[in-house]
Amino acid sequence: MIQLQNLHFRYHPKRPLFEGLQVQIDKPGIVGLLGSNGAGKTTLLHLLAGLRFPWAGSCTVLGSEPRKRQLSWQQQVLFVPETIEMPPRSLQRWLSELAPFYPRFDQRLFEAIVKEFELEVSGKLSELSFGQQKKVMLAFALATQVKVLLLDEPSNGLDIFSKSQLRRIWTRHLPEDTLVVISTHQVRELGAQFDQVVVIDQGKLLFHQSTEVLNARFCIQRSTEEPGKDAVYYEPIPGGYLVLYIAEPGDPETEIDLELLMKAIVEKPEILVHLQNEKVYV
Amino acid sequence: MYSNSFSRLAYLIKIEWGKKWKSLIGSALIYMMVIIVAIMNPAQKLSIAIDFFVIHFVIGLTLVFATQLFLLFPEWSAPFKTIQLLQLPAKPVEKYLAKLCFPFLFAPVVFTLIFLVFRPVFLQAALAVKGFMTYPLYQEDINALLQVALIVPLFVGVLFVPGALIFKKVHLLFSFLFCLLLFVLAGLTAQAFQLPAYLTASPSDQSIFGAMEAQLFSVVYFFQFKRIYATLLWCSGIIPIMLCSGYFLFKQREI
Repeated sequence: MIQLQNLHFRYHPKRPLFEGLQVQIDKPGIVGLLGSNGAGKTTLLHLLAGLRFPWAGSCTVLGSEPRKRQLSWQQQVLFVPETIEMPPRSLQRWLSELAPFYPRFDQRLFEAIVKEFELEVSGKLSELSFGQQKKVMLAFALATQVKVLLLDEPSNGLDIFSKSQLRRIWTRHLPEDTLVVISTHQVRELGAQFDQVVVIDQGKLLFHQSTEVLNARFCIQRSTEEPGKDAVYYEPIPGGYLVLYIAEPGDPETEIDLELLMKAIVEKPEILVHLQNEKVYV
Repeated sequence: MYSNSFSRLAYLIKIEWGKKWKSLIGSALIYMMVIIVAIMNPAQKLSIAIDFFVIHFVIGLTLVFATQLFLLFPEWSAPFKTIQLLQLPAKPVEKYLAKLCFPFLFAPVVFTLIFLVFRPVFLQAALAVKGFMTYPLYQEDINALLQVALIVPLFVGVLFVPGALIFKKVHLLFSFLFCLLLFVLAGLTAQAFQLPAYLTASPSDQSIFGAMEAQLFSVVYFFQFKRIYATLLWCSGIIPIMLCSGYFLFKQREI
């Protein structure tokens, strides 16, 4: 569905952002796009949406080059940016202007999602709070039922109740053939939703792995005592330590804490070797 | 669902109309008020220039046209709006044409119609002052108005289209400065290569600046004296180049 081959991109001729980036995503599902600040997550989403063009290499989404912005392709790919600025128009008018351009747009689904978000929209969209505007935009994005949905920090600006609503809505309403790529820093809130994780760092792919493999490959434990040398990484938490181990055959499967894993990889890049193959121990 | 280009284009124009009709009709009506006020003073002196209406038509149309040109791509001012426009599922040519319709089609048509509708009001306004009856609009004047309605957008407006796609803000000013630069360069080139000039420098001013000024104005005089060549040059070269480069810039536009 997404193929980046030897992708090069730079904002400034002397400061490359991506140099030879290779990513391939074949299956639909929810993909977490992670990386530190300035790693290029948003830029990568822009490249995938055809809003920026690569300097070199190839970028294909649904078998087509995003920079061509072909009509049938644009009907299947939608990018929702982090900052939303809704127009000073009523919801009905805004919907009537945009929805007809998306062949699979489902009005009932939109209304259902708006209801689940407990949104009451009256008056102009621009008069809504930032979080409410974001909910309307996310509801619209899901109701378009596009094949590739690119979301930049979707939970930013949402309150804690809305974040759990968003997770529930994804689980309930996301079509099976849709690929959602989510760029986020809030991995503890959204990490459980990811089917795959792509981590980029310093313009290169650090790793791309399914959460199933990550859960099997690593083991998270809470400990009251300081961990020994077998711990890959640990950090103090109230009442003890949160510890990351390499899973051994027979270890119980735990849900990966992506934030802890990211910190571990930054501190000990050698643990990446445990992510290289698809073999699952458990 | 909009399955073909015509229906999509019509729908895009309808959406744009919803966003821009207030600025279009509003700016035309404001200028009608200006004309009504402007006619009072000469009517009081019982002397209205014969080309009063034509001059005001040119100024009014230019202002309304410039307003629509200024609002050609307001989306560039905010990233979210830019994203919405660029990823809207329609062909780039459809989006581009829907945008161009406003300054190049609707502004001249709407302004001309409103002007002609308001003409009796202008005459009444003049009549109300000392019972002065101004010149009516003769067929020649109406022909002049229609020519102006074509010339302003096509011969001047197209120069501003590429700038509207390159610059995010005050694109009209940048485009104007760019055109001025070309104008100066044309004068300097004519001076440097001693190209034939249609206006000689003043005998009393033989400085380089005087000669440059003469060469600059020779460009203007060239267009005046050789109007048919200028028209051909514009129609066969400048207009297609400007509109096509605008389309190319729109197609290649990034956020």
